[in-house]
Amino acid sequence: MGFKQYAVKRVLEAIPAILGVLVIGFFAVHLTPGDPAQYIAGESASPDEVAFVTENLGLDKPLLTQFSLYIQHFLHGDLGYSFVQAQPVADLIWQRLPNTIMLVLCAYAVALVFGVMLGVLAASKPYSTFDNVTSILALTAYGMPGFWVGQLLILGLAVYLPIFPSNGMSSVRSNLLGADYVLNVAWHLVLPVLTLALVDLAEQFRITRGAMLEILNQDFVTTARAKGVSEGKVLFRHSLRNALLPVITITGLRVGSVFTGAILTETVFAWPGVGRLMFTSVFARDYPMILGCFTFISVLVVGASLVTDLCYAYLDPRIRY
Amino acid sequence: MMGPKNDSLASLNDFWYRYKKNKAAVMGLVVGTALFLIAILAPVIAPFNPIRTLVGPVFLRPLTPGYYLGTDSLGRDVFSELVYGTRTALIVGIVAAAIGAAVGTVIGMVSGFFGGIVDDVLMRITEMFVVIPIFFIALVIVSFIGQNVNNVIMIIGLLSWPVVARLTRAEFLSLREREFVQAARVDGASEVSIMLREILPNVLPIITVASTLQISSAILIEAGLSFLGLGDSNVADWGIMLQYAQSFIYQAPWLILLPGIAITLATLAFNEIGDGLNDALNPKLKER
Repeated sequence: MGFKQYAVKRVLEAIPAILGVLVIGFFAVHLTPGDPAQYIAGESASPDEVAFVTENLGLDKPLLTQFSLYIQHFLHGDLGYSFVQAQPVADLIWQRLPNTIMLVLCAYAVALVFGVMLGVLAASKPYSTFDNVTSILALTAYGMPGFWVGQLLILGLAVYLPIFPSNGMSSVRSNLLGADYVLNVAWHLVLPVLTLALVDLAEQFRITRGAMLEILNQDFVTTARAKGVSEGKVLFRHSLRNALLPVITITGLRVGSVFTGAILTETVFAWPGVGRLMFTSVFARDYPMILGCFTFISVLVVGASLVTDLCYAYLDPRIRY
Repeated sequence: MMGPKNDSLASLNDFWYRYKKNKAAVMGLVVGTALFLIAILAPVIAPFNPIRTLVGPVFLRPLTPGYYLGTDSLGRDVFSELVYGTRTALIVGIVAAAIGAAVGTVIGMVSGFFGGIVDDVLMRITEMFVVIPIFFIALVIVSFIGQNVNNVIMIIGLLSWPVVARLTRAEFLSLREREFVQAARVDGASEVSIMLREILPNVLPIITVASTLQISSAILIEAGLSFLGLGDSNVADWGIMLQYAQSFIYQAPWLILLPGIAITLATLAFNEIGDGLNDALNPKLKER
């Protein structure tokens, strides 16, 4: 299969998933006990506002018409109106999105670099003390709720040893500019990134270690060692290159869970991203906002896994079959 | 040939022999059993009603006489909350995983056995749930239908089937062409009877392992939802405890520790039990 055919096939596969997101979002509104329009407009809404919502979403029309209206709104980038914040939902999400993306990308990078590095080192001496200790730590990381890891980091590195700030994205009332501002944000970024990266790091570690163990048993590695190639080169040049495919695959598969983690992490650290927005909306009973964030992040996740899949298929033709 | 009784006893011995080789799994079983006992004996162990506020002054430190682990921001007894929280976590985890297992088995069975267009449609739907993070779906639906613990269990359960469905389907696909199935067919067995009597028993070990692992993820999802404020305030809950503790991290930092340790222990225990069951029930898989 050529790359183009694969790309078309993969794009077509993403469409049912996006449709699924829309169906879930649509029916969630109708699962509410009582009048959906009242829910969406909020408890304290005036009858006029309720009437506006009913009209705007076609809630008095047949279900099918409502759904097509809903799809049309979505295709126009209209995710509804937040009555609590008195702003369109999509505008608020776009404002916050860069902060979430920054957090997610940094966490991904940290997890990838350290996970792969530790995985290679652990696999180079299987069942050594280092291997056992890192393996047990990775296992524990799986069981820990991500948000609790964040709370522990705050406890240790913000409360007891006040090294890092416990919340926010930059110091308030500091009016920092240029490089100082960037440094200030980076300083605020450390704990949330560590929190979000931890589970992912454990996963990358496990996958790398497994793949490396398999490859280090192969003949070409023995040959390389016999030829006197240094151990560092055998590990990082010869073997790791071949072990990277499963690592890359898992990176694509984990997009969804990383964004899930981001919501909880942003909540713990009051990081002003989409996750924090979703959390405050849950508290404020801001239903259009909750729904908008759900639709937006889900479509983003579907899109991101599509893009990663296409990248690998481009890089490694074996995937296309 | 051994009689059926001896036979099952021997295989039980075999099972335990393979299970106990996995030391982490044995530890998981010990922790899991302890959690079960705590959950069942909660009314005996806990000195207070876990959700009653002001059973003492607020923010009592741990080891205050009468309040083993102190009190929280609303004057609830932390020890009682933790004990009853075990009950909530186990019920949510086990019931949700059971619902997921039931739904997943039926979908996987139908999909793998009949194949064709039925399989295509069902697998498309399954893939969809693999891509969209189920935590988000659960969050949205719970916030709309109302946050009581039964709703949460129901929704996590109804979202936990894809893993089981995919595994069951793969097994059915490979087993449906085997000789023993053809033999049953020649014998005149009905399709339903072939599915349930001939194939399903062979797939049960894999379903059991996958469902045990699902208990852990159900517990984690529930804790996350509760932490975001979607917990049921009528029951004691570890996630809710952490949510309250978050607001008072400077005044009462110790409140953060124990609920998190409890969640971690519970999820690790079920992960390890699942691992051990895998070694014991699917020994061939390990050799691969």
